[in-house]
Parts: sequence; structure tokens; C-alpha cells
Amino acid sequence: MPTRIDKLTKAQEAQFDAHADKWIEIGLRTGKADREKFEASVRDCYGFAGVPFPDVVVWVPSPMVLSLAAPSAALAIELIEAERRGALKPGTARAAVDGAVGDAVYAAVGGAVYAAVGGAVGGAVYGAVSGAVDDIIRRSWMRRFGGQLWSGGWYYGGAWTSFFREVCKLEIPGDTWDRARAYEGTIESACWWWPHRRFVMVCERPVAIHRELANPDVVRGWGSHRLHCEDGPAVVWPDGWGVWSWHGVRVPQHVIEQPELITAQQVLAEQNAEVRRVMIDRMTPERFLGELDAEPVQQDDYGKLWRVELADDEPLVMVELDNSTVEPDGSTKTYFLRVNPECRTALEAVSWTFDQKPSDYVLVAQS
Amino acid sequence: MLIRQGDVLLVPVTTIPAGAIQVARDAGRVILAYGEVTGHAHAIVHPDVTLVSDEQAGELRMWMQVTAPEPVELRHDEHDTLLIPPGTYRVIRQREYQSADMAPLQVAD
Repeated sequence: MPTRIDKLTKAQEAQFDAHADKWIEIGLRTGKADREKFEASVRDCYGFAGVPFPDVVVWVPSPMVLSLAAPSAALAIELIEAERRGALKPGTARAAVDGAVGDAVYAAVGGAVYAAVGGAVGGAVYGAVSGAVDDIIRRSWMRRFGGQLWSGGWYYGGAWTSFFREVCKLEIPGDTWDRARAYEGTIESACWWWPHRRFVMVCERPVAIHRELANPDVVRGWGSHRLHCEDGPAVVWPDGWGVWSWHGVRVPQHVIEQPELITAQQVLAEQNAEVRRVMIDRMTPERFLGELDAEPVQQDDYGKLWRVELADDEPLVMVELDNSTVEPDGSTKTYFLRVNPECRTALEAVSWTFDQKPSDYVLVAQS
Repeated sequence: MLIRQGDVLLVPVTTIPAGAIQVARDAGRVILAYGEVTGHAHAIVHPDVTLVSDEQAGELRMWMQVTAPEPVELRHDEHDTLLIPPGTYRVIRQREYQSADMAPLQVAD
């Protein structure tokens, strides 16, 4: 059994793909979490860290709930303990918890409803504490472990560490491998988890994960797959929270599920060029340009220039560009970028987007 | 003679302003631009590449130096890999027009 490895053998390298596939399967697991295994593994993690296990494991249905509830609970515990110590005025904790719940409702119900209810009932209390709660959530929701979503990871990922133990049979003195096994157990059994000295909050696995092969030449590794679902969320958890994605671009729900509701004005208001491209793709370029009553102005090797006359405003001039890299399925992504309305040609427009003179815009390579 | 990968343009230059600060690598990679909704990035893993930046009038400007003896790979998950010859480049992000009274907006993807 080696105690040091400077170079892998051919036989070990031949195990790369099989080992990667094992951990890819773990990362993509859906359905019920293995609660028994997670709770045993996380108990061991606390033990190795020298932190008494809190014996309170709270299962939540999605990363969104975890991100709101775990920091809120931690804050509430801090405040209640401070009250008990006499370091805080009685009632402060309750007000803060109200704020935390309010935040969760705000996220779930939406601004308009919340503003109406919150304004009528809890304005004063909420106003006093919500800033603090907001801040706590913003600063600490990311203090989670990724569970199955970190199966790859970097040097700390389960796939990486277990390769040396299981394939290379590397011996490391002490209990290092026991620690690694405990952490790997959390990856193998559940999704995000958030450790605290008084509780562990942990998220169920997704109900479904929909991906597509992005590049047939690369079946595993960076860029091999992307999230994509044509009629629903690409990843969804038991409470319905999820991520909608079109060929790897994260978009709002309605862009996937109700493309007929997308309007040209919504597209123009969207600041992200990739999201805008997908919105136009979903509503079709014909409807987008038709709703705007756009007129083609000029076309050259660089793209196509469109102009929209607007009442009481300067004209809207856009350049339509095709991506230089062709998609694996043979299609080409098309973008519309708004440019200075003084541009008269597509070349002028494209060079303006990079702050270059048209005469200087000579490419030796592009993709 | 320019090089473009998606919304990033490399313009050969001869100097970098004094006072430009080195940009830290991210997980070992020099990142010219991140994608917000795709998680993809325009990235170089070669060790002999340095990215520096400065801020002028609120605008972040970036330059890249390729000191490797051979061209280095500029990668992106959604674009073909490009070979960047040794040299110094201004890194320019694509921009979009907003309105006559507002500054152009950097293209986000």
C-alpha cells in the first residue's frame, strides 16, 4: 500500500472514467434522500470537527427554503440566547423572528402581496428588524455544504479524495480517511446542508434533473452537459422550487412554460444578453421584430441592422449577430444588441459595441 | 489585428498603464469574463498569463499579458477554443447602447 504517490500507473488512469461516472451518478441522484445515512455521516463530521452534535436535524424541501430558514433560525437562536443572558431587551428576539418569517413569506408570495399585507399589519416591527435579518440571510446563506451538488468539487470533493483511497489504495496515517468517508457520506445521501452548533438543516434531493449533452465529443467533464427542459423546470425540488433553463441559460419560468406571453417590450427590458436571446428564440424573431415594427436598414458580413422609430424618443437601433461558433446540432445562436442610433451599417454597429473604429475592426480570429 | 471570443475582444497594445493591479486567478484560471446565467467563463489555464486592471472614471479596464513562448488556449464552454499568441492585449468587453443620456452598458451573458 503506497504512502506517497508521485505518478499514477496506467491501470489507475484507466479507472478515471468509471470512477468519474460513479460520482456523476451520485451528483445527479433524484428522489428521496437517504436520511439515515446522512444523519449518521453528519454526526461523524461533527465528531471529527470536535463539535458536539446538536441532535436536531431539520429536513427542508429545497435549497431556497434552506437559504432563508437556516440563517433565520441561527439568528433567532442567537437573539433568544442573548435575551436569556440578559444581554438583550425582552421581546427583541420575537420581533426578529417575525421579520425572518416575513422574509420567507415575501420570497414565496411576492412583492405586491407582501407589501399590501406587511404595510397594513407589521410595518413598524418589520421596519425595525428586517434590515438585520436581510443582512444575516444575505451574508450567511452560502455557508452551506453542497451535498450531492459538490460530488466533484476540487481537492475537497468526494470524487477526488476517494480516487486516491479506493483506486490508488493510498495510505494516510491517522483518521484522515475516516474523516473523508464521513464527508463523502453527506454527499452520497442528501443535497445542500447547513451546519450550526444547535441544529443541522438539510435539503432533500431534487425530484428531477433534466440535462442535455452539449457536445457529443465530450461526454463527461466541463461543458459536457447543460441544464435544459422544454416544458418545465430543469431542476425541481419537492416543494416546486426549481431552476428553469433553456440549453444552459437560466431564465424565468414563463419563458419556458408560456412563451406566447413574452412580449417585445419585456425582451427590451431584459438586461442580460443571453436571456434576451432565449426570449427572442422562444417568442420567435419574427414576432419580436413584428411587434416592434422594426425595419431592416442594412446587412453585411458582420450582421444585420434593424431600426425602430419610437414616438417621442430616439430611434431604437439593433444589430442582429450570429454566433461564430456553430452549435453541435448545426444551428447558430442569434443575438440582438442595441447600438448607437447613429450607426448606419452592421460593421459600424459591431465595432461600436467594442468601442473600435470600423476601419480598425479587423479580426484575425473569432469564435 | 483583433481577436474576438463571444463578447470579449483582445486588442494588441504595447504598454500597460503604470498602477494597474494584478487580478487574482480563480481556481487556477485567468478569467477574462464570467457568464451570469450560464456559469461559463472566458478562461485561460496556462500559467504564463497575467491579467491586470485599473479603474478610470468608474470604468474597469483590463489588460492581459501572455509571456509564454507559445500561443495559449482561450477557452469557453460555448465557443471554440482560440490560440492567443504571446504579447500584450487590452481586454474589451462588448457593450450596448442604453440612451443618449446614459453610459453604454456592458453586455452581460
